[in-house]
Amino acid sequence: MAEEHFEKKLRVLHEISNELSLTPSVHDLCCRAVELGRSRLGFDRMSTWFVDKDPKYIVGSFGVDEKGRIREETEERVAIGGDPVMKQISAEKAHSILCPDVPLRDNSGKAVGQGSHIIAAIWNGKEIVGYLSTDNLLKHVPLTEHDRDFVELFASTFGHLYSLKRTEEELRAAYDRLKEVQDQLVQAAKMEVVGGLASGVAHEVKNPLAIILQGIDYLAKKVKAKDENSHAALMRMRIAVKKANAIIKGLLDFSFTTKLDFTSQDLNEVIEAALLLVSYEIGKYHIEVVKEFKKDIPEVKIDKNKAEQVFINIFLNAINHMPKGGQLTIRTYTTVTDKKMVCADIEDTGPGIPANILDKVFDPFFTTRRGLGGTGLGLTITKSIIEMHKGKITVENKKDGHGVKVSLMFKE
Amino acid sequence: MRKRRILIVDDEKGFTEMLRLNLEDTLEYEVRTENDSPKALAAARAFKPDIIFLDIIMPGMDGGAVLGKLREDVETRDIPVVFLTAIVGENEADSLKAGISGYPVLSKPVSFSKLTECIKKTLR
Repeated sequence: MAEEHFEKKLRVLHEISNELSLTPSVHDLCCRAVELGRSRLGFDRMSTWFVDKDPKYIVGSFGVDEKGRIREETEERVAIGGDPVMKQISAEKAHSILCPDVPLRDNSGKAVGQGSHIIAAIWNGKEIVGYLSTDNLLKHVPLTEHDRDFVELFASTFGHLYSLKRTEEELRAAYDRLKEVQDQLVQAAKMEVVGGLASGVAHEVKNPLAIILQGIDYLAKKVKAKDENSHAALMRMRIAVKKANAIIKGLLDFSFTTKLDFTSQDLNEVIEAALLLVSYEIGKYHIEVVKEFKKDIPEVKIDKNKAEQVFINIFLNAINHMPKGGQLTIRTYTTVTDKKMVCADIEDTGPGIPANILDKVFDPFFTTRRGLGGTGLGLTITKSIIEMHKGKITVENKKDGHGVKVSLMFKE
Repeated sequence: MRKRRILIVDDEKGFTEMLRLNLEDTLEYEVRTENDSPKALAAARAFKPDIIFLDIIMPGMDGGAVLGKLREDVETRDIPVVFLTAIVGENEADSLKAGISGYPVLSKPVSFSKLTECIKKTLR
């Protein structure tokens, strides 16, 4: 009978190990293991613990509390030495141990009842990565040597899956990091080429432009005052020269971004200065400016002029996409990632950026406003300035679907 | 009163010719153009201009070197020089109040009105 029962349990174990292997993360695997352990394998109270970076300690994962509810216990961290049974397993004297009649405790170590208790090594084939603990606090059915065998089997199956998932996660993270660095390298290489070309091209193109402009000025003097059409034609040519020159200026700004003059600045003040410079456009397009500035924001080491240029570029982009008016929200705040960062979010209420071009907005010469004065260099320059500051810039559509959010991060 | 003399030094012949056309058209200036640095130095001595427009990036001897030679020569050392160059943008040129080594800078492309304004200011 017992054998038949064991065989049935083995089949279930096989089924749930298949299910567990499909969980997307270590976190989900641990949670699901406890859920399935209880619902399909009939475990009573159970919990899983993993060996910490410091091998003298174990950290919690998921477990079942004294009322039978599954809870996350990742905040828990205890010394292995405190539990003689665990200590014995960690010394590899046994894979699992059954204590038939002992006080049963909660996570704080307080005795909450009396009964049988099994601890099994979570074994991944090479080493002990953690411990699975189960007892009979809730159902009071005494645990047997058969149960111990089975818990040991389950813990080992779980251990193999755990290591697999962990390796998978580590690999994925390493791949993501590699991809990110590769993207940065490709981008840096692209920028270097553009930057190098910029000054050469600028010089070569400016000379013919200079000739054209002098020619236009000459002809303007020669054309009779009442010949309006000719004057209009010359005016168009003059505007075209100016525009070509503006593109070159953009390219040059881009190749000059290497020269930065870092000083300690209050980001709120830099933003105010930039706002002042676009006040004409703000008025012209009836833009409502909402400032949510953090007071007493820590100073950042930035090049004031370049940082202003960054904000001006972002503001003008936002304003250009709200020709019928809208709201420009500027928020400053601090955050802690790996370092303390001072951040600014700039949001507009324009139409947003189509998803298929979202990753192109920083590319040189990419513009949706060609023929409307867009050179496609504004955000390219902006990004390169931010990168010179070792900061970060992201552009995304707002969650509510109305407009764009640009986020800037500067190191404190 | 004799016409004010202007020497334009730039390796871009199209540009110097266009400038000459414009300046001579005002009937106020006598213009000489040079597209080669050594010839420009000789012209500065012989022509005795009231002002020299000097390009910076030129093959062989660049504008800075030409300026050095002009300043070494007692015949040419006092002639006002204005740099007229494409390597500086308009905004940078405007913000370079002290000029390059103390000499005014105009950025190419330059409008004729800005150019004549600069001549008048320099010759005042």
